Amino acid sequence: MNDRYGAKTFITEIIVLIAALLFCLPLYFVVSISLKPGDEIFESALVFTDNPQWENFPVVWNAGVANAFVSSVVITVGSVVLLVILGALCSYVLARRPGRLSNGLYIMFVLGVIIPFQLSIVSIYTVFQSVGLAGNCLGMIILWVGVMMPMAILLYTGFVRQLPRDYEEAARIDGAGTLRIFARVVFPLLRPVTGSVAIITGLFIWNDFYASLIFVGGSEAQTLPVAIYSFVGQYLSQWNLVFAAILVAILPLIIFFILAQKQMIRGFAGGMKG
Amino acid sequence: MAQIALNNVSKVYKGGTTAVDNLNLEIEDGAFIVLVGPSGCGKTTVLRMVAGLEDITSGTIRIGDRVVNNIDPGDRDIAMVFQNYALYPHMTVFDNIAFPLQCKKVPKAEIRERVNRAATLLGLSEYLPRKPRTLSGGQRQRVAMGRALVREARAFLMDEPLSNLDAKLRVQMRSEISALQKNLGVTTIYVTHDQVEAMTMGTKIAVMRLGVLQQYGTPQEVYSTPANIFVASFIGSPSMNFMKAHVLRDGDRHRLAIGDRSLDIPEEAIRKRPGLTAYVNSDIVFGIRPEHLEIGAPTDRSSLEARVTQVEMLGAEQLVHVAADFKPITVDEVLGAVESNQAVSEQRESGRTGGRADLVVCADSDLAVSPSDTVKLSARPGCMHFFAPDGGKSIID
Ligand SMILES: Nc1ncnc2c1ncn2[C@@H]1O[C@H](COP(=O)(O)OP(=O)(O)OP(=O)(O)O)[C@@H](O)[C@H]1O
Ligand SMILES: [Mg+2]
Repeated sequence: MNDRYGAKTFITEIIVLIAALLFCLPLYFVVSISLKPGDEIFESALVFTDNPQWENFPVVWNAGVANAFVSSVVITVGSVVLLVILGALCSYVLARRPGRLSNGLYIMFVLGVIIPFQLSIVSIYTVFQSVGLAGNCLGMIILWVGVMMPMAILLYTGFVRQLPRDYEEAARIDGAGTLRIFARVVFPLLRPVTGSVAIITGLFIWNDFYASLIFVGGSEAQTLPVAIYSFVGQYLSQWNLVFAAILVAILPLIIFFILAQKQMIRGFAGGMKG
Repeated sequence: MAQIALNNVSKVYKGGTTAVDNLNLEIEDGAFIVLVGPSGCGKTTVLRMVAGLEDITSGTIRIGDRVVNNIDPGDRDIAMVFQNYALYPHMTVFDNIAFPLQCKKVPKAEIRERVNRAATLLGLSEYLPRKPRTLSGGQRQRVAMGRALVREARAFLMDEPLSNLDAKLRVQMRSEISALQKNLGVTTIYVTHDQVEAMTMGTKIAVMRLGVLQQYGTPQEVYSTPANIFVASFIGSPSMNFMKAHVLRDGDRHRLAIGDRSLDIPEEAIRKRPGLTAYVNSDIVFGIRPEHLEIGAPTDRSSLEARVTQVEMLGAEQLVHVAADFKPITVDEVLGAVESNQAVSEQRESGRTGGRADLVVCADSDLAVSPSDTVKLSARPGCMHFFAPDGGKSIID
């Protein structure tokens, strides 16, 4: 045995295990309740049912979750893609063009991170309503790109500022134009922070309830959290179906986290090894 | 391929630092010139101005017959090798080398052929699918060279390309780069602060100090007829010995009084440097390289006396450090204390200890000397250097 594995390591491991279990418990509840038949829902969530009702999932899927799932995916993916492309381009210019204008713009973006967007939601809604952007996916995407852009700019600009200029200078001498330098050299080097931006904004957008309720609640484009909320009223006593819908909503996230965990840790650690 | 000309080029950075001061440099087509000088003397700045990465404050830079002051780096048709190579970390070696060609929209098949040719030339063929991260320092260096030479650019600019390599690899790459440049015949400006690289690689050397060009000439010229005390001390290793001397004249013979000893100045030296006669009966700075000092004097009259303090055996030769009882002088003092430059003073830090001067002699390794021996030193005639005591210009005519 490795003699560096002592009592201290053992205790640390136990603590980490307990913490992990605690974090998994709610997930267990969701799975456990979503599989219960209707007459068991008020029994303890700790007890796993003997009679799992797999058909709970097709039931909720066909009762509007499918539609909401598609809206959520369209809105989240659309917003994140735009945020990454526009955020990276904009930050590249802000970080590499010194001057009062870029500084001022940068400060505006930082303020955008600090000031809660909820303050302006009424006026945004009025405008969206009058130009036909309320109640559809396009409007939501535009809203999210605006709301999350300060966060994207903050993360990207900080990263670009630390990026050595040599690569860009080498590319300039090699004869690349600004757009090619960005696309072929700078953007790939931003990969770690692109991961962070995508995860932070994507999670926020996927999970958001407040803005989604106001802008797309009750419409064709309503997202998963809003759809699940409407379930609570609709199937007041059928918590198993509500939880089945919740599981459908969080499953993509769990799969994504499992697949991308290595990337994510690297992204958050922020290091870039060339 | 093209000649490069810098006319009265100056660079003042935003903060007010004058990094390059009125530089004039003519580089012939196909020449390999080495820009050398201590840290911070403006070498990188010169290179970056030629590359177009830095604005030129005043003056003109010409590549071929075109003034390039306002031409984009990409349109100057030059290739540059950076000190840290600046290989694109996310691209394979192939893509790194192909990148400049892709920018020029060269057809794919031709790109493949040219990259393969460059890779074969540099012994990189088997590394083409790898990422730079997985290569050794020497291999990365070669990739950087490859990226420069696929372009068939009009000129190469290299900024200390070997400084990240270990000593042995540096020697190997030094000759590889020289050979490559000779083969291709591309005009090259090579920046280094290593005077050995400068001496061995350049067809011409430009020595800079504090943004000012000190001397521009072949390695032989810079070594044997340095323009001033700075060049004399910077070029050559170990560095030249300097001492304060008084020029005397008996009849038609000249002598140098150093401390209470003296050295004859050969007739020939006077003929080559008629200016020296103007300094009769006044002080000058006498310089002699360690390899031109000999232990064991032919005549008692023309020699210095010193005590051995330390012996460093190098194999084929030995460095004998000696202390003599005369007033020491440092390069800094001669150049003027105001301008004193850290790198220079570091170089000469051993030059001053109370009332005794420390000299270095390069002797045959079979000569038996040991610390605290007293030895007589004579200067090889024809290898003596004389500098004005104020400012340190070589005394010539
Ligand atoms: N971007 C800059 N802004 C202001 N001053 C600068 C800048 N770059 C260099 N300098 C200054 O200009 C002078 C010359 O710098 P340069 O980098 O050309 O020196 P160098 O000869 O290449 O030195 P080294 O051998 O250390 O690389 C230095 O005093 C340096 O501090
Ligand atoms: Mg430099």
